Amino acid sequence: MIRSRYSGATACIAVMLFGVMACHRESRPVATSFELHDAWVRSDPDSGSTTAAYIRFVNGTPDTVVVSKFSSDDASVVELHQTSIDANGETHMDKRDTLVIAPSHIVVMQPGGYHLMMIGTTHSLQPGAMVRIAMHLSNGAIVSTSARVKP
Amino acid sequence: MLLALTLATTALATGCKPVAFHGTAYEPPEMAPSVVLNNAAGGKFDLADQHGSVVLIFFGYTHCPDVCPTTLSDWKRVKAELGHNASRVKFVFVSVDPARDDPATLHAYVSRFDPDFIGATSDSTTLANIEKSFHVESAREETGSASGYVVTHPSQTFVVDKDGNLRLLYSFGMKTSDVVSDIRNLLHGA
Repeated sequence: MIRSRYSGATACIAVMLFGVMACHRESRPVATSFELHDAWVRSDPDSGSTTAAYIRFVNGTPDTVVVSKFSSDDASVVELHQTSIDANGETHMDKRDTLVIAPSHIVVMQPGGYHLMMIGTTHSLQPGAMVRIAMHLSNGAIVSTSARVKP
Repeated sequence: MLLALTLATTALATGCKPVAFHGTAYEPPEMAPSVVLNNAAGGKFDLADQHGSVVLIFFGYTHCPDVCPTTLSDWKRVKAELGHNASRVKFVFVSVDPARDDPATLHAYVSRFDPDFIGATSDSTTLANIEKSFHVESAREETGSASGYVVTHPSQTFVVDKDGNLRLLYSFGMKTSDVVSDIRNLLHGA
């Protein structure tokens, strides 16, 4: 499990993606879930600018979850980026097309790693406000979470 | 007599004990390179004029959505934890993206985190020379992002002591309490 340097649950949505598993005569329904936790967005007082959002993805299902697109009504474009820091301490940022969360794995977006670029914010994002972010999965499902704006 | 001798010996031993810094220490300390930049107020920032203050330096750019604002947020916490000692600490954000970061943009950006933070930049040649003297570099890169180009840049914070020597280097994400502890030691002459 990757540990985030930022803790504190701000939002948690359990999304039942795969429904109820097939059951035999004596077995109980087994629900598996894909969960989104601790979503937050860095505040930005200027409309039209770019800021970053972070989410913790928990894939409790037996299947790989692929997020192929991100969107938000609060930004013109939402892109997945990944920051990496090389051996010389140089920071690089690359755009990624998909986020893959393996079965029974957690992917933590955090400063210095994966993050969502909220490009062209439609309004000022002040601390305490909430921003809705949608995840478009490769299986056609769309799940969303509320991210709190933080300084 | 014996008590006085014991106390003196103890004090001497304590005084000679080297400070264990949390950041990566320059051993021996190096004279900080010349850093003369245009500050956001339209004047000059000259590192040589900062004697008596501890100076934190970071190379970044205002369109950076991840590492730069995280570092400035960390600095804000450091400044708050320093209390009255913060008046003897300078926080300098050097933009390595002069094409987009004019002084006014830079000033507005750093002021979002703290009005005392200093934003400074210069032309590409001057910046490249300064970065070279710090043994770092930055480069513009196209990623296909709708936000435009990105800039590869150093992730560390450099610390210059009150005598103008490069003393410490902090990796990205360093604990703010450790930074505060080190700065206090530097302010007290470590």
